Amino acid sequence: MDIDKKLDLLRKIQSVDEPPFLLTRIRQRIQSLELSPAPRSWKWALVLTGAAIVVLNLGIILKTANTAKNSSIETIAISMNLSSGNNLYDE
Amino acid sequence: MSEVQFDDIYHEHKKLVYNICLHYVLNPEDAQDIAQDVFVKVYQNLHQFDPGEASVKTWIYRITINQCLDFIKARKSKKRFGFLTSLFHSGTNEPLPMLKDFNHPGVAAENKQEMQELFRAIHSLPENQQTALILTRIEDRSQKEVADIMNVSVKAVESLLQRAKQALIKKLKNSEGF
Repeated sequence: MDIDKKLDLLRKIQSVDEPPFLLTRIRQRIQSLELSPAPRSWKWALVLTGAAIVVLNLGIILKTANTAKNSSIETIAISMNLSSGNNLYDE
Repeated sequence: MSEVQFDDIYHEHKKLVYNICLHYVLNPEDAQDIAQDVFVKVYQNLHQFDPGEASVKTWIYRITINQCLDFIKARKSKKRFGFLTSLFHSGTNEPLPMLKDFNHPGVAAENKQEMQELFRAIHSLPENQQTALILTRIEDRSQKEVADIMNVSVKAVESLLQRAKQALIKKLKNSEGF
């Protein structure tokens, strides 16, 4: 098979004019893109609010984790009149 | 970017962009959508364009080719997952339009059948072989220009074309039933 001859068929493809109103449609899309972005101050406000929420949550989690670690054993021991240390009871 | 600058670029390259899109997607509706995407990208990225790296024409060729290849990939994956979606929503399994709805306005009616068969074989090649063939054989670009557009060496373009031809011979022979 002469592939070059076959591929020469591709040279017969005519160049076509672009469809009418292509530029108008492109301009419309560009305009809609330019209108849509939110103002920079809004973006910053959103980022800062998000960061504040994350920090608050982390703070609460850390605080509750510490108190839970300290209190769980001690509160039970105190309420039952037991020693919370590892020392033996004085008899 | 000024309106005038964009208009100049548009008027200089509109035909080139639309025709490249047609060679990839083979129907005017999709080609028009992609051509719009290309010029929106050009508008958005013109400030990043480095004239020392490539000419505007080469840059626009690259954007157009990438946009076309992305479109084809998206269509193929839609087709792949179409089976799954069709299980839940009947009628959403859209066929791949490139070859089923072959409607290249630059192809004469008497060549349509033969051209469709040739494009079927070309579209089954790897992307870079496809691009090398389209640019050299349809767009009539030199191997040097193709190398610039594809950002490879001239030797690499030669090799791509050679491999593309060998693959096409096999594919066309198979389709002819040899």
